[in-house]
Order: sequence, then structure tokens, then C-alpha cells
Amino acid sequence: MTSFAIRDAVDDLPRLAVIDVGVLGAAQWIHWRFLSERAIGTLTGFDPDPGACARCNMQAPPGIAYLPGLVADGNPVRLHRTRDPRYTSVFRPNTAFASAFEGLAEACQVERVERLDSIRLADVSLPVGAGCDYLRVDVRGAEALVLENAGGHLATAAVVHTTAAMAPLYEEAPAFDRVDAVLGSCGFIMHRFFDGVSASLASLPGLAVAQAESYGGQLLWSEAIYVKDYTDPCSQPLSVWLSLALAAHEMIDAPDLACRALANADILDGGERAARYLDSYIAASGVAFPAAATTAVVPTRARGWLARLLGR
Amino acid sequence: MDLGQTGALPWQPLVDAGLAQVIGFEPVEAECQRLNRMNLAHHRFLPFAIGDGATHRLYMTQFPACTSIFEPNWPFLELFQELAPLFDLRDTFDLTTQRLDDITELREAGCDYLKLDIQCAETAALQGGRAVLARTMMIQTEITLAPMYQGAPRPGELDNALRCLGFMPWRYLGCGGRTLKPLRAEGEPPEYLSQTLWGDAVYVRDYTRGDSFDASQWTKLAMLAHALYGATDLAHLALRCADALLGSDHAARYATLAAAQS
Repeated sequence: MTSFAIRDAVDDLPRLAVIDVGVLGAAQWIHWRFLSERAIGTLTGFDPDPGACARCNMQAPPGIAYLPGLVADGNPVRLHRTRDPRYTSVFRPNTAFASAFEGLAEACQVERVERLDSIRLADVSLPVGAGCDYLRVDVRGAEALVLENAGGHLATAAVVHTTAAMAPLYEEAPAFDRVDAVLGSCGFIMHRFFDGVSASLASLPGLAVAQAESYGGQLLWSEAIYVKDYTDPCSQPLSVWLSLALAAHEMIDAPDLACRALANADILDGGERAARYLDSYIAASGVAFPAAATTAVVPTRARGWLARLLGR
Repeated sequence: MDLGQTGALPWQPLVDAGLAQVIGFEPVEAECQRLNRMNLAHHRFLPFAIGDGATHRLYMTQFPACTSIFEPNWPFLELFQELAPLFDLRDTFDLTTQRLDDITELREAGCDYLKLDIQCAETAALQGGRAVLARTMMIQTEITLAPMYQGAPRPGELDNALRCLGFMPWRYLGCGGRTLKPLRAEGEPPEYLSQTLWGDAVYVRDYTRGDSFDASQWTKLAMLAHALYGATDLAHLALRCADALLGSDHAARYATLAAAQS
């Protein structure tokens, strides 16, 4: 993570409106605390359990709030609560698939099924009264349902960080191709794939686990970050570029993207944000920078908040 | 079968062991004949450019591995350090492509393993190869993650084409990218700060729904998993399934050898 706050260099950045649609619901609020502590933005999350929302909302600092509800496509759903809560999904676990892998069938074992009415993100108005700037989707198999029903939030969002289903771990669940299609139709390009979660086959217990760690095993899902296509500064309003700069610097550890987004904003309104950001970056990284040059040599990025969040 | 024979040659261990024959493609007839006259062991070249069967403009670039039937997306490429010059054009000409399924020789021979690296034409090649790829067990493909070419398929479209043929992602082999100007990362070749541009992935025919696989397919999957990717667990599973059909005991012997070497 870069070692200076972007607001120290650029003083007209908005506060980000972040939405969290996660399989672990309100239990995740503590991972978003930094939004409030570093004055980056506000968080609106969702949890089907009203009690969990109430407990979170009592403990969390101002600007972090969870609303009762399960986000999907607006239709009634069956929520399959699994032994390992990270595998809970509106889709039934594919036991034929899971049973081929070490420990996966046990983790995916359904302990109870709840019938719930789901809500569409498109129907959610944020408490701050603005559109979403950063959307986090971390649901098992239902990513496409959430995104296809996100409505105007995908128009205002600068960043979407989503899990992407790779293997058929749930019956009839859409996969990565549909996630990519809906985000592409809303002007997003992929920024990066990372932190794939894999499983080893149960065929060779013990030996397989050890060896799968070295070769990677069967990919189950991966994290993917999408950002608005930044090629054409005129393709998005100023607010999107400013949100993208803030999110890129403070949340996804992408200083080069932050600088690009600020340059796009400058093209729209004649500002000088990118130059100020570059000055701060060079000062913070302590690298030599020839006065006439336009290129800053910076160390390869370090792991930051994103890695800690994903280390759950 | 190797479409786009550049860079990594994942099939090499099986060729070295005399266990595979590689079919490559060289659309220039004279060059194709020259390659075949070289009598490379276990190699054969066919004089085709694989695609959707239509004629396309081919954009030949300074860095040959960037050559594509899609025009480079200059406004995007120029945002990055040390990227656009790779795509400088050397030449352009019209290229008539062939669908895999339209090549009788391939339809008859089939293909057990496919390596794809044809700069965004992968999706079209797969969509035109349903018959040729009917018994293919693994596909290693490059995935272009960002819009480096104009009008090229998105990564999800390639993923969809593979899923429609019965494959699922198995593992990612790595990825690469460039740093957005004006920042620059250290390293040689240069590291990149954040934007991933391309990667390689291996897809496998969904082996958890392998009821329709025959013993030959299971055995070949075992060979590929073991020799190309060191995937002991998948190789063992495939051998166990082959044993169930053949009445053999390959899986048990493989497990003993694998345990001895771990």
C-alpha cells in the first residue's frame, strides 16, 4: 500500500460510497472499519439476519451500516446454509462435484435451508443519497444475479471487486462468463485476477493435499477486480474518475491507475491533480526523479489492506 | 495440437518421451512445406490459419507474438509503459481462415490436447472446432484480459466458448501486465504495478461428470495431468477411472510410485 493518503495530494476527492454484498454478511463489518478510520468513505452492507445487522450497527463506527436483506435477483430464494458458512449460497451445492475433493463435501454440507425473499440492488437507495462508487460482491455462485440486477449502481461505480465462480461447485449457478458479460456491458474492463481458491482431489488423501499445494489443485473461484474503462476520459463523468483514483490508491493498491484516473479528471476540467499526485508519490517513495522527466520509478507494490481483507 | 506455436511448449515432455505427436499450423504454404521437410520428430504442420472460416485482415506486429486478426487498440496500448511499440505494424494482409471442423484430416484424427495462443482468435477457433475437440481432455490457452485489440472477445467470451465445449477452468498458470504511464515499476523485464493484461489458463474436460469418458480418454488425461502439470491427484483419479473400465491396476501402482517420490 502506498505510504501517503491521496487526499494529502488531491483535496477535492469525494467520499466513496461502498456497497458490500457478502456471503458472511454483517460479520465482515470489521474489515471495512478502515473506510471510516481513514475518511475514505461509507459502507452499506447487507445481511439476511436483522439481529446481525442491529449488532453490527451498534458496534460499528458512523458511516458503516448493514441493512437487513439478501441481495440477489428480487425473487424468492432458498438460502442453503452450509457447515462452513463461507460456502452458504442461494444455489444448492453440487455434491457430485464437491465429493471428489478433500474436505469440500463436508464444508458444503447443507445444515438448513431458509426460504427468503431476495432484494435487487437496483431497488436499494444508499443512505448517503448518492450512487455506489465501489461494489464488493462476495457470494457463492450468485455473483451474476447480483450484478445483473444492480441497476444504476453499475453506472456510477468506478470499481467492482467480485468473486468469480470457476468450477461447478453449485447446481445451475452461473459462472465467470456471465459476470464478465454483465460488467462488460456496463463499461468495465478487468483490472486483475488474484487469490484463486483451489481444492485437491480426494483420490490420493494426504499425498494429494501436499502436492496440490505445489501445482495449484482445482480452481474453485477467484477474485476479480473490474474498473471502468479508462481509455477515453470523456467516457465517464468527473465523479467516476475521482472515485476511481481514490479507490485505486486507497483500496486496490494501484497507484498507476490512480494517477491515470486523475489525469482523466484533469482533462475534463483542466485541473492539475495528476501532477500533484505524482509529486507526492515520488516524495513518499523516495526515488530519484529527474526534473525534466515525466516518469517516476517506484518500487514494486507491496501487499496492503486488500490482502488482509482476503486473508479471512 | 498447437495453435500459435510461440513461447511455451507445454507438450514437450510427452513429445520427448515419444508419447505424443504435435500438429502445428503455418498458413504460408511454402513455409509449411519447409517446416515439414525439416522432419522435426513427432511434428507435422498443416497449411492453414485457424479461425472462423472467414477472411480477415492480419495485423503483423514488430513483436511477432502480438500479431493478430484484430487491430491493436492503440489508445489503450499507449497508456502503458513499453507496450505500444510491441504492436507497431510491420505489414497487413488479408488472411483466409479455416474452421477446425472443416479440415477433414483433423476431424478424422481428433485431438487430445490443445494449446492456444492466437491473440484473441481463440474464441473463434474453439467455436469452429466442436467435432475436432469432441474428445479433447485439456486445453491450455492464453487469455487476453484487457482490451488490447479492437473488437476482440472479452475474457468471459473465451470462458463461455470453453464451457460450451464441456470444459471448466482448472488452474491459472500466471499472468503479465504493464504499468500505466507515467509511473514505472522496477525490474527487467519490467514488473507492473497493477493492470493485468494477459494470462494463461488450463481448462479440463469436467472430470466430475466423466461417465461418458472411455478408458482411452481417462488414460490420456492421466498422462497430461502428470507429465505436463505435475498434478498427481488428477492423474491418479483418471487412472482409477480407467482401471474401473479396463480391470487394470494402474492407479495403485501410480500411487505407490508417487508416494515413493514425495
